[in-house]
Amino acid sequence: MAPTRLMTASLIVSALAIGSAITAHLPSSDTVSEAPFERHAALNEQVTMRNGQLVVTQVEGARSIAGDSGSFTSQALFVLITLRHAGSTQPHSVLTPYLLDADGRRFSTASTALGTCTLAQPNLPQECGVVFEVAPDTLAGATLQVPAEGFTEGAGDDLAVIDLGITSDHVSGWQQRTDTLKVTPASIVGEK
Amino acid sequence: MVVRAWQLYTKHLGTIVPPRTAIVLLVALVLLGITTFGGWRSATATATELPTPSPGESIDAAPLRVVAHKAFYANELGTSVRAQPGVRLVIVKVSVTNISTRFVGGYAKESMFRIDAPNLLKYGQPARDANVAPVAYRVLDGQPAGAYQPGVPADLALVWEQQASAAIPTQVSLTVAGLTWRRSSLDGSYDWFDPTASAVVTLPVVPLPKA
Repeated sequence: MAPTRLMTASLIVSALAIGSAITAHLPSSDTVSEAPFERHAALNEQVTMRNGQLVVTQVEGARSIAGDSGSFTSQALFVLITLRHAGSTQPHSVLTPYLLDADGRRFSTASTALGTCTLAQPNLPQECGVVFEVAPDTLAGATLQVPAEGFTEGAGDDLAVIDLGITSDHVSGWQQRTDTLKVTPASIVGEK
Repeated sequence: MVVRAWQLYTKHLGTIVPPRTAIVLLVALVLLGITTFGGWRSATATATELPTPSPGESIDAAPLRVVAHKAFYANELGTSVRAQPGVRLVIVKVSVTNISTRFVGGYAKESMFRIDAPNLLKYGQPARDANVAPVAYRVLDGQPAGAYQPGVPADLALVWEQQASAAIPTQVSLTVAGLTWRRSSLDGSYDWFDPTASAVVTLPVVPLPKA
């Protein structure tokens, strides 16, 4: 094979290899379109999403919790998150919050019967509680994730990501508690 | 052999059945034979024997790890579950731990356990097959079980309703199915799908001891 042909073939193969490597490292159209718009906040910091505002005001844990539907006892740990939320121009819901632990494990709310959050009207913040049953080993550093809407997990939409400020000291303290947490009843907490 | 068959055909039948018609008939006969004997699937299917662990043995049925303990029959379970007149409860006690990184809830959760007891009820009506999901209750507090959360162990009572007129089963086979995390072909959302039997545990059924 003539040297020029060999060089041309090598260049083509190299260009294809480089193109393939670049393509492998670029995000796909799916990952771009499904990536959430994360709105980060910490405890007691308000996070604003396109359809409402939300602030986590308290985080507690214990092995037992009680709500309107009765008492629950966990073989692991319950985490009760008290929050305030309100709609911007329409009623706002905290329909499918998730808790993401330090290992990236995703938890859903413990029981639909235990959460007290309902629709919050615009400019009328509602205080309410959401409850998770979680594994204590990787709970420190967990975040609460609240999609702007429904069951999307925030895909292509706003996603509130709230650092709950949980430390390993909190977790060990909660594991030793013997009292029963009471789920925060829903209430209107005044004009925003 | 094919050449010999073709020679015989052209010599004896070629003028009666034209070659094109003969080929169509041959293909039809082959397809009829395949259909009669169960189609392509039966040719590719391989018989797989499910593991049959003993009660108390751990079963990996991703995303869950399951231990089936005991089976009972009763008219009530604790103070919150009471069978309607003419109905009996068949109860299987299990321990489950979600070993994946995502919770398992909704329909996926209900699709993981089945028993082979006859005359089961589905939504209070006689079920047409054995594909009846149990209602799961937490042993610790007697509350209905929610989703299986990652790394959270739970002792559960799986409860099926059976017509009381049916004979009390002396044993039940509990089939534990695993699930696959994938995108839905209907709406593109991700969830646990495709329950696939992982193991069958046979448990003697005894009266539920009084609390």
